[in-house]
Amino acid sequence: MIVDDLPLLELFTRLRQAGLPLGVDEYHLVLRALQIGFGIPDRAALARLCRTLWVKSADDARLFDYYFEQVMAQPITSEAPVQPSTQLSRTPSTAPTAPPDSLPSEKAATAPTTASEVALNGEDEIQVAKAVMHNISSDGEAPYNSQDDDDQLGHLIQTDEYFPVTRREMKQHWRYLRRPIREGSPAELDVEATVNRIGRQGMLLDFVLVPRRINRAELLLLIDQGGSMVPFHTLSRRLAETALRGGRLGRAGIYYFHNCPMEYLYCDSHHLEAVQIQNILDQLYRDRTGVLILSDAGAARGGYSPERVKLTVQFLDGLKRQLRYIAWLNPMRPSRWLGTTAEEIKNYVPMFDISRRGLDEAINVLRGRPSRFVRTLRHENNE
Amino acid sequence: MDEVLTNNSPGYTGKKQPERGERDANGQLLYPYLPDAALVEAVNLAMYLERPLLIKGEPGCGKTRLARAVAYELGFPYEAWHIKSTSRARDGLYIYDTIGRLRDAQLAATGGTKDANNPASYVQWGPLGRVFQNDQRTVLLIDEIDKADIDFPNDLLLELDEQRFVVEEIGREIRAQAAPIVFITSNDEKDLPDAFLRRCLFHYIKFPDRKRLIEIVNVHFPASPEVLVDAATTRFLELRDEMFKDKGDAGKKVSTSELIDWFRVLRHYPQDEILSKLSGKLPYPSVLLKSWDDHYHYLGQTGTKALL
Repeated sequence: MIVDDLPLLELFTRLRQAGLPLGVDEYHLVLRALQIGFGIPDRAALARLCRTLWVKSADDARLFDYYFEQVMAQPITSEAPVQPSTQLSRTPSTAPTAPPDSLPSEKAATAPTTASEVALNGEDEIQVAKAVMHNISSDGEAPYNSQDDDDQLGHLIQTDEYFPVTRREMKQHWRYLRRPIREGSPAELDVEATVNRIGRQGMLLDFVLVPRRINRAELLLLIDQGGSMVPFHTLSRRLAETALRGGRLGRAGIYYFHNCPMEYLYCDSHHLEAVQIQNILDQLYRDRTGVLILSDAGAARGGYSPERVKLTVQFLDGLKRQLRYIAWLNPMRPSRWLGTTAEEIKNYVPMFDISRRGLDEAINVLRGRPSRFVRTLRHENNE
Repeated sequence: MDEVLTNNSPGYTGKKQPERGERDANGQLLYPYLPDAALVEAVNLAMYLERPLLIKGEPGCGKTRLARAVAYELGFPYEAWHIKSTSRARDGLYIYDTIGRLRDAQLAATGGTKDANNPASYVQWGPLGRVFQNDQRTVLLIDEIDKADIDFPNDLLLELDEQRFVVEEIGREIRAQAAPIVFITSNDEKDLPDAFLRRCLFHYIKFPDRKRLIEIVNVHFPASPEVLVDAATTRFLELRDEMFKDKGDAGKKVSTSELIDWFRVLRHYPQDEILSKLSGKLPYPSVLLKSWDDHYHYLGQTGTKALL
């Protein structure tokens, strides 16, 4: 069978590593489809088949095309089984095929450039990546992912998911942010209440109707922009993007500030259009809107600024009077908060680092769930 | 591939088109549909693997029309479920008329004739519920799934995966008699959850090239003069290119469906009049340009040129 000789598993594994949500089931689907004759005629047909089954978005499609080119470098034709020697020598586990003729070697030479074109949108992203990587290694802690450093670097070159939290994980986290509220005109029958009423009145006089449960979670995302946050702009942009597309912002939205929010927030990342904070807050519901602040709180530069602490605490106090759920995301690792302004601010607001776990806890705070923060405070109070 | 497919079930070819003015069983007017080869293949794949096919593409590129075209060619029944922002997953399966039952029980207690003892008679089936109970293979369209709440797709996982659901009020399990062919369209307003995406096949409908556009116009308006089709398509593509330059991938551009509408208008006027109009300012712009900005940009320019 030709199917056995195709480096399909190789392609599949690489796509999985690149972050496509694929399972064994998806692999089986391709095999089943191949058996009935889909994707057999030529290379393009095989690419079409795999793309239909494995790719779910335009971003994924770019990754797929790149890996497909790499793995299936040798042209695949229906006459392939006629030359069993070359087919057999190629085991699925080896890296991109050893090219017997000049054409694939040309491809191999051009591959790295396409990779960087695919993965990296610009020079600044590379810089950010380096900054983040440096941040990780200088802390002397294990990288966020369980893979070793080489893998991390390889990963870095092949995809643009080099942050501790991938785009997909961000989306998943936003999804947890939900707050079902009964709202609108009463349309749903409350069976229990109606039965109770019949019991009391002896007969059915009227129904008890309740409004439908709808999702009313709203998110106010406040992003520190400029200065020490420059290396994290891509990260904050990505957070904002995923939140926006996750459909979770409701009537709140994304606003920007520099260092510490004072009286005004900016609607755009370039600080062109200012809005008074009070105007924004007045439109929001106290129990519905979660505020997520993204700032290094002085941890990136280090040092302690009493002035900054004072201003931030003032702002937070004002915020707490109007909104109930507030969380802070800090792009620096917790070990770097020590002795800086961030350590002080941390006592006033639940602060988490940007990792899967940190994001998870931040979302929990926004949903009004008890978190680690509450416990530490209580602990301190007991002392 | 075709031989293999015919052994199993009839495959979709995209070749059989309805006659002009032909209507389906519900009295809906049928339109011809010209899919490209990759789309036909994706449809066949989805049918064979019994997975839903998620379709994305620019507005007006024929995402919604596809399901009906497939149903027409294969002679399968067709059900559509148009999603709104308030849609809930269960509404697609069934709605239980509790109020009706309470009322009937009350009537029966006061000497009425209605019998409320049969709980099953208060189930009203939704599109998915009807499809599952049809013993003929059915084409189901779930239109604009991204309009609903973000949890909506997740609530459909079991139903689409195992093709069964339970009517809780009467404790009856409904199993699909014949695996339905499910088409899901999305305008990408919201992201769909991974668990849902994993179960779908995905196809992005690309904007047709010039040759295909001409074919599409011809199949909608048979016996149109070739010169006119050619000129109209050319002018349309010019406008689209211009829009693409200005807006890139993001903004709304003129679509295939608008071309068809536009051509329908153009056809009603004498050919030479239209041909001369096509070379000047865009005729009947209200069919193609849907915002003040567009009007200003793509009409204003030619207007000023004329003045100069």
